[in-house]
Order: sequence, then C-alpha cells, then structure tokens
Amino acid sequence: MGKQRVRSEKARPANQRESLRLVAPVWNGGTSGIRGLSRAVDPEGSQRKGRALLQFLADRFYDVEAVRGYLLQKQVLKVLQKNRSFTYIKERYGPYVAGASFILKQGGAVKFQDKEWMRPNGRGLSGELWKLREVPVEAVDASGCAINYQGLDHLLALRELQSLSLRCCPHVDDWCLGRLHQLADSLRELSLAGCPRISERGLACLHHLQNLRRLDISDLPAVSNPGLTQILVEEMLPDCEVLGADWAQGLKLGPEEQPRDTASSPIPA
Amino acid sequence: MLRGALRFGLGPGLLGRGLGTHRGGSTLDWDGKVSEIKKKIQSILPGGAWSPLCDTSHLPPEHSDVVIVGGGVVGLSVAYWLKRLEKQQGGPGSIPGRGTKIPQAAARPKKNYLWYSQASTVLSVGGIRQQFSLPENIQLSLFSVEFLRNINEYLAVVDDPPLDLQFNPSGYLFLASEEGATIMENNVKVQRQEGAKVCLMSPEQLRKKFPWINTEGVALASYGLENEGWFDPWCLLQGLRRKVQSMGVLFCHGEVTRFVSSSNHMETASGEKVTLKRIHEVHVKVDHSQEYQPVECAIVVNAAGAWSGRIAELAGIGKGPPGTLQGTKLPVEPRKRYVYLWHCPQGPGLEAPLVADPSGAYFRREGLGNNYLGGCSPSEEEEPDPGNLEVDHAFFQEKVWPRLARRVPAFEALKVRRAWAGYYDYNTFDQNGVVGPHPLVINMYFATGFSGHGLQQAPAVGRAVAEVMLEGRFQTINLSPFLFSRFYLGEKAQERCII
Repeated sequence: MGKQRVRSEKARPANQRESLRLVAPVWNGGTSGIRGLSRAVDPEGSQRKGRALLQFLADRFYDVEAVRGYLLQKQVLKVLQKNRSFTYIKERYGPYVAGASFILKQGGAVKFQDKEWMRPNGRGLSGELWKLREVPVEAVDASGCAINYQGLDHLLALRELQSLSLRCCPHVDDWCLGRLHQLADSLRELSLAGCPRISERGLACLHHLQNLRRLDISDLPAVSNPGLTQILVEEMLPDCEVLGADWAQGLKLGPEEQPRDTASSPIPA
Repeated sequence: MLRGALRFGLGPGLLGRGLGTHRGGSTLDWDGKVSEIKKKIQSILPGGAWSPLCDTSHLPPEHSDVVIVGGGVVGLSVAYWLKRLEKQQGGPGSIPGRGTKIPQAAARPKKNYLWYSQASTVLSVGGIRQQFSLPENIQLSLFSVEFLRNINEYLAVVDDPPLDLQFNPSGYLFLASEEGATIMENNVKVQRQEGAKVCLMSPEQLRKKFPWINTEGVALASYGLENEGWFDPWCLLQGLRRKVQSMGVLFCHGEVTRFVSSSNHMETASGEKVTLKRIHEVHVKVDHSQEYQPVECAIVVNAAGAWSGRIAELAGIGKGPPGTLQGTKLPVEPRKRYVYLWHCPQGPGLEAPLVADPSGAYFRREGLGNNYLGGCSPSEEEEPDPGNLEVDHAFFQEKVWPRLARRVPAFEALKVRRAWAGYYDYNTFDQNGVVGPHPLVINMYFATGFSGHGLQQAPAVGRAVAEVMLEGRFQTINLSPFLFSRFYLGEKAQERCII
C-alpha cells in the first residue's frame, strides 16, 4: 500500500464556502422571492424598480412588512388550493377520473387507454369524463401546471401511467421526484425539461424507475453540471434513452469535430 | 488644505488629550469625526440604541423573558417555535419585533474566533432518516422532514431569497447481519405504522439494485424510499437565524458563567420534603474580557449541545447525594466523531444511498465527482479524547477503511481528501434526547442530548419544547419518554443502533 498524503482542515471553512457558492447562484439568479419563480418562466423587468421601493418601505414600516407578508402568504395559499385533494370525486368515480379531472382543471391534458387526448376546453369538464370510471389513464401531459408535492398524490394513484410530462412545472422539485418511485412498474416515458427547481440531487432518485425508456432532462437551470449529470444518469439507467444537455457542452471543439447528436442512445459499456 | 495645516502644526504631544482622543494617532481626523457624530445622532434618535449612562450595545440585554443557551439548530428551532406559537395565541408577540425577548447566548467554554466553528450543527454529515425503533423518534423525524420540505413557507422573510437546502432524497440503507435481522424487521414494522416509507430487501434484491455492494454477512436490509437523505445543515442554520432575527430574537455572543437562583423548600402531597429552585439571572461573560452581564430572565432553555452537561452543573443539577433526584446529573457529554471525505473513481454512482454497515461504518455520496463522506462510531474503549477537534487519520486507516472496503470492494482504491471532527452531545444513559423541564429547577428546559441525530429532529423538538413552555404539556408529539425524570427512575428509552 503506497503512502497516502492526507490533509485535514479545521472546521471545514472550504466546505462551507463551497456550499455557500452553490447556494448563491440560486439566490441571486433572478429567483429572489417566491414570485421570482414564476418570473423565471415569465420575466418582467419593470417590476424590479417597484419592488426596490417596496423593500425600502418594508424595512422601515411594520405595516408595509405585514402587508407584504400577507400577500406572499396569499400566493402560497393559491398554489395549495389548486393542489387540494379531490376526495369526493375519487370516492364516487375512482382514482382515474379524479386524477384526470385534477389535471384538466390545472390546464394539462390526459389520455385514457384507447381514447384520444382530452384537453380542457374552457367550458368545464366534458360530460364523457364521468363515464370513464374503469378506464386507466395512459398518459398525462402536465406541462406548465402548478402541481406541487401534494398535488402529485393524484398522479401517483394512476397505476397504469406510461407517459408523464412535467415540462416547465414551476413547483415540481427534488422532493416530488422522490415520490415517483410509486410509478416504477408502469412508467416508460418521463419529461422534466425546463423545471426550474429540479437539480441533480432529485434526478438521483429516478433510479427506481427501471422500466423507463425515455427521459428528458434538458434545460434544467438548477442542475450545476448538465453534461456530467447526463452521463451519470445514463449510467444509472442503462436501458433508458436520456435526452438532455449535449455532453460536449462547454468543451471547445476542434475544427474537424462535429457536435454530437443529443438524442443518440448511450453506448453500451 | 486646512486639514493638512492642522496636522502639520499640531503634533501628537500637544493635542493628545485636547481633542478627547486617547488613541495613539491624535491628528485631526475629520472624516472619522463626522462619521462618529453621525453615528451618535443616529443612536440618539428614536429607534437607536443609545443609553445615557454607558454603552452596552455589545452586551446582552439586562432583562429578557427567555434565555436560550446555545445558538445551534436546536436552540434556533426552539426560538422560532416559541415566537411562532406565541403569535398564534394572540400574545404580545403579535406585533413583529415586540413581545417576548429571547436572547441566545452561545455558551462557549473556550475562545473561538468563529461563532460556529465548534458547533455540532455545521460539522454534521447532514442526514435525515425515519429508520428508528422508537415511535417518538420516527414522528419527530417525519415532522422535521415536512418542515424541511416546506422550509420556504415556514421560514419566509419578505424580500429575502428562498432557501435551497440542497436536499438529496437518496434514502438510507441499513444492512443487518443474522443477529440483527429480527430486530430490523420489527423496527420496519413500527416505522411503517408511523407512516415512514421503508422497504425490506433480501441480499438477492440488494445485489440486483446496488451491484457494487458485497452482500457477504448481510441477512436483511432496510431501505428508505422517500423523505430520507441528506441536506446542507449550514443553510438550515442560516435560514433559521435570518427568520428568527426578523421575529425579534436577539443574538448575544458570550459564555454563561453563572446562574443566580433562589430555592423554595416545599412538601409534596405525600409529605416528602423537596427543594425547588428557580433561576433568576444568567451571567453572560463577554469574550476576551472580564465584563459580564447579569441577564434577568424568567425561563432558561438549555440547548447547549455538547456543553449542556456543564450548563446543567452550573444550575446546580446533580449536586446532591447520588441516587436521589437532586443528585441526578444530566448525563450529556461531548464525544468526538470523525468524518472523512475521500475520492474513489470507481465508486458507487448517483443512486447510492447513505449506507450503514452492521459494523458501524457508514458512507454517502458527496456531489457528482465520485467523492464520498463517511466514518464510523468507535466502540467504548476506542473513544477519542474530546478535549480538542484534531482528526486522527490512523482511525480511518485501521477502523473505517477496512470495514468499508469489505462492504464496497470498489473502495479498496481510494484517497482521503479531507477530514474533520465534530462533537456529539452524547447521552450516556440511552443515547436519545432530553426534552422538557427539570423536575426541581422549575424554569430550566432541556433540548439536548441527541447523540448524533439532533439536526434531523431539531424542527420537531423545537416545537415540542415551545409547546411545553407555553401550554405546559406536549401537544403534537408526546415526548414524555424523553423527559429528564427518566434518569432518576432508570427508564431507558433505548434506540437500537446509532451512527
């Protein structure tokens, strides 16, 4: 056994600095405040001046601070309200219809087995939804919906779900990914592209989904190392096609090299 | 111009005293003077901290309702929940910033230049699990996980950025040998009853799922599927500090040197004589000086972590004939534990949970670069001297590495990058927390002795202590098995294995 040089550091200041550095980009990167998250999806620069004035006032007056705190709370409650559980519908019509009506109410689309895609048509839920009590839901497109950890209950009750798209969902985070193991038997296709709160730590718990064949992890702003993460996820799920960042992203290409095709399947080890 | 002339004309000897500066450089420093005058005016105006007699801004306040000794995650959690639960009852704390004053004294037994350099919170590996055998521990952990998940709702401060705890939901994997398999099965049953999502795995399933594990000697494994993993404790600490400061809690840095208390001789219903004590003042000594401040208080919370035993002694707990309630000491002492960070290029991948070997060694993945953190609990004979936080590298070579390499063959080739040591507030009685009031010192509450799982139980313990202080009993989670009186009655609340 060769000699090993080992260094010890007191009180790990470097570690703290590293973790602070990891936190800092998230803090400063335009996602300040809870409203900032929806701003990441829909930016509005002119609001910033108004917010600076409000911050000035809030620092000096208790009333302004209380009002702002109340408004913040209201936003949070709005999301919670959207994700409340539909117990009545679940008892009466079964988990498939309850899940489908939840998605449709949020603005997503649902596909029952052997049927066409159902989308919300602006006039409430269509009548034929209530007849589909025994028909399992095959695919869900919840792109852009305000689903959070609680609302995921409705999706996890759909035991035959094969395809799930959570593109650009602002409240889906690492904690939600930790729950997806309940769909491990049926889920074949999953898309998480564009979700602002998902990081490589949440992607690590996708290893339960052994039946997954297509996974889209492109455009995840909170992932610190997209290329490396993609390689590690590909190693973790050998039978799955992983769409994501180009692993050569950030590397300098030589004059004769071409950029790799991002949708190519992983090379077997 | 004028400034230059004055400086030239009036040397140090002439104007040394005249301008009221006792410092060495007595040249007229207009910029400094102006800013000093500005500061004085600001402090005199309403809202400033000016005291006409002397400047006490560096000292803790003279009066406060609650003094929390210890500014780590447990102490901050108690402060947070006190402020929050009191607000809900419509008490004086409903106006932010007013209401109960809660200064926190960090009880530092020796000199430290960084506030938290020895605190167990920031030196911790940061894991959270529900795989305990006592239902109370499981419930505490379940609530804490819910707190961490919704941390930006609990700890929201207007206009401050949201917290990112860097939570890794990768779960814990406990391995059991033949002897421990039945205990593990029973534990998993209790955990499932309480609502934890844990599954049992056979060695065959283990090999299939985690091919890098050597299942020799493993009879059973329990794997946490949800709500288990590890996070960044520093971030939680900062979040709590920020929120708690916005709620009006004062932070003071100093060392608790003395408690001034009064005694009351009383008789119980059965005619026994007891002496009840009540703490009136806490003497907090300022660092690097002999100055101290007597803080008059109504309640003292002992959340001093590894130093809680010393604080309890100062309050007179344990001073009496052994075998009596007065003579029962708080059995919490500091125990040193090492954590090593190593790099192993062929190590387990992204899916690796925090693996705990039956021999006591554990490790987890750290980041994406094939780095791993881990350590091992020493046996009673091998306990290192807790006098300092120096790392013993031979311990890794002799005790930790062989066990890890046996369990994960890829770890035979690794290189230690860094190591540090931290304290456990080790409860020598039964390695579980002490929560609640002391039966004789009636206004001291404990929140300490967690022996390595304080961080993961801190949010729930804070709420429990706040409930006991405000309501008189535990309301959400019943922690009566963790009261102080169990040390006198001899009722151990024992947990099966600690990491």
